[in-house]
Amino acid sequence: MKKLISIVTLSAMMLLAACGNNSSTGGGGGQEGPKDLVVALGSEPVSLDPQDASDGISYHATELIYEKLVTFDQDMKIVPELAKEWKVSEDGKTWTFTLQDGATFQDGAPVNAEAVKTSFERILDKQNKLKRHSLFAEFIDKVTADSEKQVTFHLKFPYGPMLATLAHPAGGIHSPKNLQEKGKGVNKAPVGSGPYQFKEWISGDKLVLEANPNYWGEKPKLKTITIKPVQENAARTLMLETGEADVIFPVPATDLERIKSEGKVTVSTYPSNRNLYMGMNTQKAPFDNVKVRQALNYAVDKDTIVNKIMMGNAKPSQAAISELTNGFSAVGMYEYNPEKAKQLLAEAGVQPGTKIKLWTPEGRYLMDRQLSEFVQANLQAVGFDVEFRKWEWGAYQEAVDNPDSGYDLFLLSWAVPTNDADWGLRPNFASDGSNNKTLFANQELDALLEKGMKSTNEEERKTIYNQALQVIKEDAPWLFLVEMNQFVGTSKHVQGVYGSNTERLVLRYAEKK
Amino acid sequence: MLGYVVKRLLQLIPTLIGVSILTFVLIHAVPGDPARIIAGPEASEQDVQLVREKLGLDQPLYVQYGKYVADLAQGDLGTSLRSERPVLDEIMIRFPTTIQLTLMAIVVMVAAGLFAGIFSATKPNSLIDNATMMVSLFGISMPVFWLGLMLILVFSYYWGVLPSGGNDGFRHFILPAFALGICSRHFLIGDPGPVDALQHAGSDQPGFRSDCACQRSKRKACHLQAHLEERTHPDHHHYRTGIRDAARGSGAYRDGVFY
Repeated sequence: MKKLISIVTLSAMMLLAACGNNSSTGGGGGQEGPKDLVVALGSEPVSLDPQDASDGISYHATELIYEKLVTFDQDMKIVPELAKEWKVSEDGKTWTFTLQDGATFQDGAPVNAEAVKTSFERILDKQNKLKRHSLFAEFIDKVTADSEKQVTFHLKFPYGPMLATLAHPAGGIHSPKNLQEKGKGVNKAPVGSGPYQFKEWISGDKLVLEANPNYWGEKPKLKTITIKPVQENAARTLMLETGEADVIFPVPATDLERIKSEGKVTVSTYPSNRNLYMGMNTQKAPFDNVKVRQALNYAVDKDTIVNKIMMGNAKPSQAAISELTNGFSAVGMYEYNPEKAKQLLAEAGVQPGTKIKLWTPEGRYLMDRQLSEFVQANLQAVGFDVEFRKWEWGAYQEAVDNPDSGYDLFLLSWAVPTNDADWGLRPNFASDGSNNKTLFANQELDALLEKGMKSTNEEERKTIYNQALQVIKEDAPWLFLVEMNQFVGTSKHVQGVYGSNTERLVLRYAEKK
Repeated sequence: MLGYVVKRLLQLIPTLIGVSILTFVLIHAVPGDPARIIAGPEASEQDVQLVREKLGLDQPLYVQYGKYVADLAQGDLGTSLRSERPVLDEIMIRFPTTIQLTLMAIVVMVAAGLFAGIFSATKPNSLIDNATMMVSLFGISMPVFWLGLMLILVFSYYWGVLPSGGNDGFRHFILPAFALGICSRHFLIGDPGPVDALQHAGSDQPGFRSDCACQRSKRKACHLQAHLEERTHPDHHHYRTGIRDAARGSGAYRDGVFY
């Protein structure tokens, strides 16, 4: 009997030992030359067709495969990518781009004006039902190829955020040959001109991109980039700590303090242009009174939210768009002043004990429910009777899409993928804005937003948006809360990875020692 | 006989239609607009409408159902909203992994169970017997996901000998198979009593198992175990049933009590 036990124990130990020997091969540790990078994300990309994707995770990948005419650098300046230079006509309606020499698609075809035209015509055609259709169709009339290397965009009206919109990941240029061969299938078999090209994709397991050997620009520094979906937060962190992943995004909020203090891996914090706010139904009493809306802003203690609830991982909003968004100017936040709030409420004739409804999602944003509970307490303190309700995200989206569902206050956030004030403000605050859930309407502001959208003069735009931000602050359709941060976890061997202001995980310049 | 088979098969048709209608309606009754969710929170209404048209969600429900059934009849299970791939492909990609994991879990379960069973049987009330009992009690009380996390913590995080996740070969299966195997292994504690096993194999009553297994020397431990189990795992019964069926199907183990 004893013999049997020892045999079992021994074989178990040998099995473990054998496993131990293999473990160093994970992630391509020892070999010389370019390495393999493993990236663990919260889920897998849905579509590798940038024109037909709507989720951030797909864009982390398409940004490696495709290139746009222009792009954002790390400081969010718009810089050339496939376009070498460009000029805009007097009236701001004709934009002419000269393409880089020598840029080729991963299938060998040259990146020429015809290819750019084909790519944009695809998304401008409504029949194709691409998810990013309206992003470009709103303002582009047509695209013409003037010569091999020169392409012109004819706009419906002068459009201020033209370049910022072209720098959106959906502006990625497809290989026309691949579009023709694969049709709709390009979303699973992409070909662009970027530094990494598609290798394989096993659904639910991994997406592998490999260095494009013929890349026209600076050579990629990795051999492959593997993107793995790891939904479980704890598992994602563990993979980084055990070395099975080199990069994780996002780092779960619950693990932040622990892994920072242990210091085995690096956690970097990057600002995002996502603003968290609580919208008010401005058509509904008492929120149709501007004094009440201002009172709410005075009633909430933003600093405590940042320090105690967000644990310093956010900062109070200084305007309706975040600091790094093009067009930003600090118009200042409402100070925390419950006495002033009570006074304003009294002036507006709001009785203490007035019932209001506050709705929040749970688990969608960092500390969303806790934050909403804090706001609830702040509002109770100035005399409201706040009915609190938390929602599942899908149902929540549907409910806040429809004012008849009965909301008074709702927690949401807004990010700006073009990093431009136009996208930051027009959808939310123009009276016909696509995301105007506060039902806010102000003609002066409408005129300003229209002017800002149609101006191509950066200085002029800055002045216009400063005025617009002032108006929005005074009229306060939002209870302004915080600007969010994002957290990228990397192993000590990895460099050159960062989170952009538009919430892209930028892997293009990644290196691994 | 043939008539009976045909009759049963015909009876299947209304059931399938009923089930398909019910699930279809239920999915649509769940709050949340799939087009909205797919298009993303920052999408304009126009974008959402495009998604809606593309998915056919703008059609009346009966048209959508008709299309679903027509596709189904041709072996097309539709396209996953999440991955935008054919559902059948998605299942087929994952299926072999599931089978592999299940087989490995059964191997672990049977191997561990056999050893523990033999030791306990040859030396009743010995140290080994009691230790086995304790470990089994532990296994029953521990949810499988928890054991999984603990295994990852020890083998991946502290010792670094096995991967914490992924699907890149045999090594990746060891921890999950072990966790599943150990947590489903509790059918093999109890006395080696084939008669009891056969008598009560058909019973799904949680209490039943304790009765039969507690007839012999380990009465106290079993009572404790049954007590704990009913208190902490009201849903344990389902789980056990599944395992029992799996074990029965494999025909590998007959000497214990099938729970």
